[in-house]
Amino acid sequence: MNKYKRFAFPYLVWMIILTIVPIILMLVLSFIQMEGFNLSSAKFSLSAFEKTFNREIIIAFSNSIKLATIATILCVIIGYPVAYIVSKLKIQNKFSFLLILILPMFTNMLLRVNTINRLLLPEGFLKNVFGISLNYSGTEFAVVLVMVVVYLPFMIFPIFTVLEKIDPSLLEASKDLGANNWKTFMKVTLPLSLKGVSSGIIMVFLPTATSFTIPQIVSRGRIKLIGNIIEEKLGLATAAVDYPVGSLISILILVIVLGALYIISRVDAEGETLL
Amino acid sequence: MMSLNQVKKEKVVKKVGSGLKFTFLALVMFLMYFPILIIIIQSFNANGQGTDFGGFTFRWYGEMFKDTNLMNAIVVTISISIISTIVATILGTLFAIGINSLNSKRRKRMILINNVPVLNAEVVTGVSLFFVFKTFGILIGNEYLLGYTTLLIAHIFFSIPYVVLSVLPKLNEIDKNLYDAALDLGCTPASALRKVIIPSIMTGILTGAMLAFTMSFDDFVISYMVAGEEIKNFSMWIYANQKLSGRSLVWPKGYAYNSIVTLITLFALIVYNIIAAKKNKAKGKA
Repeated sequence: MNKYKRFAFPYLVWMIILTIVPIILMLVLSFIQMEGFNLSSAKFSLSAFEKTFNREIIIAFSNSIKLATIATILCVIIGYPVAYIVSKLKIQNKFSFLLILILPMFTNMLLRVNTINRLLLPEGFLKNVFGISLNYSGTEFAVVLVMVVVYLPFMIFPIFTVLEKIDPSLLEASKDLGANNWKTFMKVTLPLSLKGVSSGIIMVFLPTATSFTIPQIVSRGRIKLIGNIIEEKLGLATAAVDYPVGSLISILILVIVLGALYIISRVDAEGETLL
Repeated sequence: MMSLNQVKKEKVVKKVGSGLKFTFLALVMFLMYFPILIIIIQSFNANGQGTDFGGFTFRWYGEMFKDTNLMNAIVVTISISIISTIVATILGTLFAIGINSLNSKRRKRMILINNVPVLNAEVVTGVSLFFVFKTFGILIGNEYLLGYTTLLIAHIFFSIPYVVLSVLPKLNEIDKNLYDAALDLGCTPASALRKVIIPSIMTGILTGAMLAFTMSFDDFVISYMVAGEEIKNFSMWIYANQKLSGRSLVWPKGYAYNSIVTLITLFALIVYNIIAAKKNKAKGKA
């Protein structure tokens, strides 16, 4: 099928223009000082580095890591059993069952985030209709809760995919050799499914840590994650526009993403669990 | 030998176990579905502020169509996701075929580049595209480039990698002899592509198209950064109305639109299942 090699080349060009060039541009921008997006006023400077290590940005970084870690752990704790139970169900169309379970994923995320957050207000629909009054709106708890509800499917899917691929004869062999259910799970199923778990962790941790809509909507700008800072520095509407600082933070995130990419390429070269 | 008691005990354990499993799945389902349920209830809620249930109404489903801003946003969302899905599916399939025919070292490198937008933070991807469009705009002397076209390019860009990822495994499964046989029997590489390769990777192509559509339909962050100030999709419409809570009667119309989308998705899923079940049966008979 060598004749088709030429189809790959335009893709390389396309990806270089839209992925590699902006990365280089951001790298360059991290080392200069300029007003607005005026490249002619640009001159070499390390001021972006100084500005990046201020209190607000460090707090945003640690918020990102803290909240995303909690959300990811909760997603593993909830998502693994869901994937496991569904993969063990004795029905024909397990995949469809899973689709129905995660159908809410197909409704608009912003609307869901907003709706959940309104339910957490002390005065509102829940109180007037069901008599339940919650007061979590705008808290870190609310941010984590919303993250889990939104990103749980991204944990369930890769784990389900690898669990489905485990050869059942391996489990039978383990039982024939005298292991009980628990031991079979610990020695056979769990190690074989770690590939899916690691993909799931990456697929949940990265978007939650860099999310800007969830904290923005839930806390109305009070809790800031690193995504909010980037949006602030590079966004369209704000007065705080600072391209060098925004670029530098983006580059830092990119380094973390490349690390994740490296892990994925180690455990799953074809990227099958990324879907 | 197991005593009768032991057998009974095991049965009880199993029953309790499956009860626990069922409760757990039900709880997760509740967690996922409760917000959707609330959105649907609110779309029929005569109390426009949504703070209480004021009776049942179809009002918002009618008013939705009179709201020009919302309608424009819906048209943008639907047209962008349809066009970008078609383009990304065609290009992504060809690119995947190209990547598949590379030698293993180059293939790995291409897959690595392909995965960058998949894993990259949406904000960073959005910013990257914003920079490219902005620089390109400066180069051609048009500073206000951001709009429908850049939005479309961005959606095609982030959809292609998902198509590539869904098509590649299917290409891997193709028997190489099949392709050689087609050539021996007089096919040109182009007709072999059309008659042998494309049909054998069809499921992968369809999965990719579905993923691309879902991604595009629901996207906010990247769209927000590359669409400029005039063009808005549904997510951006919500974000813009974020500050207008309470008195403005904007939200129920959004709930109404979203409920229609949920209904269509559910319907499509059921139809798909019925077709799949029928196919399975047909296979069983043959």
